[in-house]
Formats: sequence, structure tokens, C-alpha cells
Amino acid sequence: MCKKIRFPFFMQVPNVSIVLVVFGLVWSGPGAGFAANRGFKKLHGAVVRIDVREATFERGAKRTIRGVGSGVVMSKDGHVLTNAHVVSPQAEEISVTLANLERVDAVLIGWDHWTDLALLRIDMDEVRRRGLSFSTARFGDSNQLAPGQTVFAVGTPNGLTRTVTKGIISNTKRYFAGSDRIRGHETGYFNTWLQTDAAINPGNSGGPLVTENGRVVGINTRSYLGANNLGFAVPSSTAHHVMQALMEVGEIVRSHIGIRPGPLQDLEAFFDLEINHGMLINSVDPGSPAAEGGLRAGDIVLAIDGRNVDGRFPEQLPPILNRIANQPVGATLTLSVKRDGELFSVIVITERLESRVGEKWAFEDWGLSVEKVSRHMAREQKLGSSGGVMVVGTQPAFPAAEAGLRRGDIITKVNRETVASLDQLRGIYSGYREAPGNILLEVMRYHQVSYYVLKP
Amino acid sequence: MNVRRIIRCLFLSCAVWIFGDLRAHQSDIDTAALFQERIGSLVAVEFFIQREIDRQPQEAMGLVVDKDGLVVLLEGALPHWLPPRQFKEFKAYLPGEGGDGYEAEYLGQDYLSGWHYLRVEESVWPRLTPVAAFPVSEPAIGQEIWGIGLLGEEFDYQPYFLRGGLSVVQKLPQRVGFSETDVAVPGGPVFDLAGNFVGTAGNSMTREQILYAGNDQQRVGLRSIRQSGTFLLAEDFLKYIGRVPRNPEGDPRPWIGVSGLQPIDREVARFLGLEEQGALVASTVIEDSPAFLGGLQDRDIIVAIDGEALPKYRPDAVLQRYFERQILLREPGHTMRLSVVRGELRDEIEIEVGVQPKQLNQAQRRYFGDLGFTVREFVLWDAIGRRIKPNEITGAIASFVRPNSPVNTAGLKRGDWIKEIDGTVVFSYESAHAHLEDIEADESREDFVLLISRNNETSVLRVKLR
Repeated sequence: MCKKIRFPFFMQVPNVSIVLVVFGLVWSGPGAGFAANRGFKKLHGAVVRIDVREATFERGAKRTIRGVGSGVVMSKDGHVLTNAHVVSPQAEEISVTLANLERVDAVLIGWDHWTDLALLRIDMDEVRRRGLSFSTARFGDSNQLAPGQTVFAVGTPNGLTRTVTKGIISNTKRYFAGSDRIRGHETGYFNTWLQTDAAINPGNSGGPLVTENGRVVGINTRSYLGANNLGFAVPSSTAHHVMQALMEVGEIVRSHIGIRPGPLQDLEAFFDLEINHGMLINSVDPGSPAAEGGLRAGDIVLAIDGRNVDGRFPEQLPPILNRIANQPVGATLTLSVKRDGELFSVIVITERLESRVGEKWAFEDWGLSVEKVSRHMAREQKLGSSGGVMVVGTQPAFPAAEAGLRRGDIITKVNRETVASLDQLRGIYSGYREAPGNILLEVMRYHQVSYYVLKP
Repeated sequence: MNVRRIIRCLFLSCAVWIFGDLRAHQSDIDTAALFQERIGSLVAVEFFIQREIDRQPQEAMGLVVDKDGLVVLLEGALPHWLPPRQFKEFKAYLPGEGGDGYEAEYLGQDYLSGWHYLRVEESVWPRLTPVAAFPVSEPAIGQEIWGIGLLGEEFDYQPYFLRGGLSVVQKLPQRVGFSETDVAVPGGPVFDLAGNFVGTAGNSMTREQILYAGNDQQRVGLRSIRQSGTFLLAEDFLKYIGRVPRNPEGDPRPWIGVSGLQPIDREVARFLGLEEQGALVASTVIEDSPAFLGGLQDRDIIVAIDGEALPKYRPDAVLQRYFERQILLREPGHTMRLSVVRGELRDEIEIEVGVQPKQLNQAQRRYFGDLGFTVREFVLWDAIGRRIKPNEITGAIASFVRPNSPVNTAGLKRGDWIKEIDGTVVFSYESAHAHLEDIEADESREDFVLLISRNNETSVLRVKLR
């Protein structure tokens, strides 16, 4: 039985100065028998520590939390690649500690929770003004890695800046069926992971996994807490692509059709299929393009736009989903499908992939924090097109808690008007702040309708 | 006569009067005799719940209600989701007697009161004392009341005396008395000092306590399982005690087809101008149900039944129970008129009360031992829970999965909705049953395939049989 996998989320470091001093004493190279070459030394100068102050909207108020992670400078323009679970769009203050221990500010350029990657940019004006310098790292080819190959993880585990741990590649295509979430956001649908026994601990997140010549072959992301050296990194083949897209447009636009595939292994005979041909559709999201197109759970997709697919083993599934994700939004896909022994085609028009987690906000005078109900969640919960907003927290003794609202409630109407957006609710809130008065809320709780009055 | 003598005379007179009154009081009320006499109105009941691979012993306390051995058990004494045929080997034990007990037959549950009914074997009838044989009284606040506690099976259900005082009576919506201390075993009778029957103990209330552990403290709720200070007043109990079920599997139950009834609290009522009476929101009106056919709509606010405004209760949730009782008090085929508020409009709706569709405990089911699971009929309750319309009901439910069985190894879990078997759509319980029966009978089968739905996601499972 596998232990539950955990992200090594950044943790608070109470006394950073002590950590940095100790680092100066312990750093002497990555390991016995390893002569740090030029590439590795250069990589070492590109690894940074990242300190983040981030807003949360959990308990009816906006709060700030602090965290620490790792990153690697990938361009002379100061682009730093890290994990999405280290820096998110809710970050209010990002500070990067360079290899020379100088600290500079940074901003978030883009965020991709699907691959758990984020791109920052160091404040280069400050770098120039203060005459600072840093190295940049280069990507290696993760597709060329082989099990047993030596790799190093570099980062800030538990606040211990630029720690190097050594290990080997344990597996080049690790697949996780039930992917973890980043603050509720989906992750891991479109890539497999590099598995390594190089020690990866909380704080390593976002740091590079490198070869002996210092080439970045992965971004360290997760590990089994409590296990002995079971660490995982997003491969550079994925990271490179995501970084380029985030540099160019600040976001990754993906397509999806609303299917969840399952491995065909051992089911080929039942479905009367050739080995290594076809992908099983385990589930079709309600209301999705696949559902609209007529796909059903249990269908076998043999080809997409005439190109065969092979989803026999679990680790073959993310690349297939990635192939669909790389299609333009609104593209027409022709799926060759087998159902009950019959072959036919299904036309599916892709739509933009969205997270099931919506935007969060806190209405502090009400002591109410909410999250916009996403399209996905509205379909899943059969909430209708508008969805409303979901209560994610209340503050005791404030109007929302006093009225009786609870976490998980979905506010569907305010003063009898359907709630279609957070902006709409913000407008009502502004009105309330100018002229406080009673507000009637219609709420769905476990699919039951209740009414509550927010009183000033 | 000096003042001191006068005071002494007065003191002696008072003492004689007080002592004499106490003796008279004690001679009038022989509590021990009353206690002995009333023990016969209580029996301990043991039975088994027969599950797929094991039996679960249960015990409950039964109140004797007539001279022919009719006994009632509290609503929660038996799990309502299991079919009565899984309740086995009922036995009644007289308090403190020990021995092998007396056979009892399960008669079913009354849908209105929730009480379960048993009939114990005739040989013990003469030794039972129906609680209805005692005079009934309505206790006053502060009045002393008492009842019978029963020790556990290892003490042969030895009876013991419990005493308390009535603190308050609440309408919930039936009248329920609350004693300052526990006064009876749950399901047992409660009396006043004169031996009058004043009520029947329910399950005890949860008492809020603070638990200190070192420097930490936590608010916890504690509920006694052997004693209770909460009781249904005798008059409200006896009013419905004659409703002996005709069918252990369940009598036809009046129903209108509304789910998610939610009371409107005082603030909302004030906001909506409905503060003069109680009000309930009908969250979902089930398609093609009597309420749906009568014109009731989702989100309608019900304010009156047959022209009578809904009463106001505290806590608000009691109103929901009141409304449900109002439905259950009507006969199928009778008309029920609801006054509703819909946005700014008011409307009157006439509903012909129907019969509730099959409930969970009435669903057909079968355990397939070789495959390792029980398949159960998909009922309306399942559809409501999964937010699907009644006309979309297909498939069957895996209501039990044996650990390490073939289906368990394949990934099937309890509660999974089976939609296809071997690629064939399961349209009904019967088709699932027939298909699984064929699979189980076919000794050459190496595997079969299920398409199941769990949490709105489906999965294809291959079940290896050998």
C-alpha cells in the first residue's frame, strides 16, 4: 500500500541568518569522487532560494502566509523557474536570494498548476543598480535519462539554502493515478515524473534536478513524506515547453474535451482489440464537449485525427491528454471510436481547459471568504450555468457566520438576483459598505435551498 | 404560660405535624411497591442483524403496551436501511430474570411514530404489565418523576430505580419532557410519585461538556446510552400506539414528493414579511410526484396547510418534522392544500397525497458470494442523492463488497453504481441480477467487466475470477 504522497510545501524558517551561515561552512561539493565541473559550478550559481508572502482567503478574511522554496535562474533576463505550489498568483511579495546571498525582489510571470510550474522574473533594474550578478542554468534532455544515472537535487530543503543531494534516476516515467492538488487546483494530468532517490525534502520544491554536468533535467516537485528517498521531479521536456509559453504569453492555454482515460491493460480481449492500440474512456465529464459529441464511458478511442493512440499502460495516458491539450481551443477533432464491436467516428470540438477551482475573495466586513464556482464544478454538481459562489470560510461573530453560513455553502442568489460573477458580488458588497442594510442570500447546502439574512 | 413554653409547644406541634405528614406521605406512596409492579412493563430485547458474512448482535429496551405481549422499541433500535428479513431471532428478557428469554416476532415499524413493534410469545403474557394499564398523568414543572434503569446483559438486565424532576416541556412537535437527571432506560416508561404513567423515555440528549487534556481543552458532546432524561409525554405516546404495522416490510406510506424541506429562520421570515407563521422552502420537487403534478415548484415557500398557517417552532428545524407528520397523518388519495409564496406571488396548490415509492429497506438485493458483493435495486432515494431524475433511473447499487473478494480486488467499493455488466447496459435490478447469476454459474468464466459510477466519475473494472 502506497503512503499518501505529499508536496513538500514550503515552510516557514524562523531564523534564516543562521541557516545561511551554516551553509557557508558545509558547502564543499556534491560528493566524494565527484569533481565539480564547470557546468555544475555554473548551475550552482543559478540556484536560488525563494521567500514568498502570499494572500489567503480561507476564514472569512484576507490573511498573509509566508513560505520558502527553491528555484533556478534560466535566463540572463532573470527568469526563475520554480513550482506552482511555491509561488501562486496570490503571491503579494516574492523575494529571491541569489547564490551570492544577495536578496532581490521578483514578480510572477506565469503559473501553470497543471504541471506544477511557475515562472518568476527577478527585478533586473535592482540587479543592475546594485551591480549584482548570477549564473543561468541550461536544460538537459530528460528523454535521454536512463534508470541508474547519477543526478543531483539542489535547493533549500527545510530552509537550508542551496543544499545538494546526490542520487540516481529511479524511474523515468513515474505515473500517479490520483494526482494531488495544489490548493485544490488539479495537477499532473499531462506529464509523468522523474523519480529519484536524491533526497528531496520540504523546501526543495522548485529547485533543479541536474546531471553531473549541471544540466537541468527536472524541477523537483514532490516526495513521499516519511519514506526513504522517493522523490519526484517534473521532467525538463515538460518544464522547457511550459517555461517558453509562460515567457511568451504568461499563461498556458490548453484544450480539453472532458474525458478521463483509463489503462487498457488486460482489457484488450474483452474489447477485442489489438495489443498497443486504443485508449479506454473511463469517464466523460457531464456537459463537456466529449459528452456533447456523444462519447460514453467504456468507449475505446482508436485514433485521434487519424493518428493511432496507445493507452495500454497508465504512463501512456498523460501524453495522449497532452496531445489533446496542445490542440487550439475550438479545434475540431475526429475520434475513431469502438463501442460494442462497432467502429464509428465522433466529432468533438475542444474547449479551453479550466481549473475546477475558481477565483477566491474575502468580503471582510461580512467575515465571508468565497470562491467562484467554476464551470467544471457547476456541471459536476448540476448547479446550472451561473454556478454562484462557494463559501470557503467565515469569521466567527461576523455577519456571515451570525446569519448561519457555513463552509461549502453555495450562494446562488443575493437579494433575489442570480449571482453570476464575483464582480457582481463585489458590487453588492460596495453598496453594503456605503449603506449597510440587510441582504437576503439564497444558498444551496447539500443541494437543499436555504435562505439567510446578512445583517450589519 | 411564659414565652419559652409557648415556643416549645409550637415547635413540638410543628414537629408532630411535619413528621405525621411525612409518614402519611410515605404510607400513601410505597415507591418500592410501585417500582416492583411497573418492572413488568419493560423487557430487554436481543436480536441479530444478519449481514452478508457475519451477524451483529443488538439489544434494545421494549415497552409493553398491551396484555397480548405487544412491545414497542424506539425508532433507532433497528437500522432503517436494512430489510426486516435481516433482523433475526428476536428474544425478550424479563428484567433481572436471566435464562434463555422468550421468543418474539417482529411486526414492523409504524411510519408515523417510528416505533418498531414486536409480539412476544404467549407464555410470558401473564407476567407482563402493559404500561397502558396505569393511570396517565401530565407532570408539572418541578414535579418529581421516576423510572426504571436496566443494567446490561451480564447483569441479566437487572432493574434499578432512577429519579429526577421535570425541568421543561418542549413541543418538538410532539410534547417532550426534559428531566434534570436521567430518569429511565431509553425506551422505558416514566412515572410520577403516585405511579401514574407520564411518558416514555427516548434517547438521551447530547450534553455539551468541556474536556480538559493537559493544557488543551475541547468542547465535546456526551450522550448516555443506558439512561435518558428525555421522554415523550404519555398522552402523545398513547395517541398513536395502536398503529400496529400490518406488514413487516412496510405499510403504504403517504407521500407528496418533496425533498430538502428547509425551515426559514426568523430573520429571513422578517425580511420576507412572513414572521406571523412558520415557513418552509421546498428545495426540490421530484418530477412526476404528487407535489409536482399539483403544481408545486422548486424553491416554493410553504406557509400553510389546508388554510391553516404553519406554526412557529424553536428550533426552526422542528417545523420540518411537523410538516412531514402532517403528510403522514393523511391517507393516500386524500387532498392536501398548500399555500405557497413564489417570489412576489402567493398561490394555492392542491396535492393528491400519493404512496411513497420503494424505500431503501424495501429494495431488492442479493448477495453473490462467489463474486463477493451484494447488488441492490436502485431506488428513488439513490436518484435524489445522485441528482438524477426519476426517469433516468437505471442500474443497480453495490451495497456490500467483501474484503479481498474478486470485485474488491478489481476496485469495486460499497455504494458504487453499476451501470454496465460485460458491456451490457443494466436497465434494472432484475437485469443485473440475471447477468450476475449467469456469471456466477459459469465455472469456465475467467473474468467479467463492470462499468461503475462513483462521485460522478465512471470507471471500467475488470474482475478476475480465477
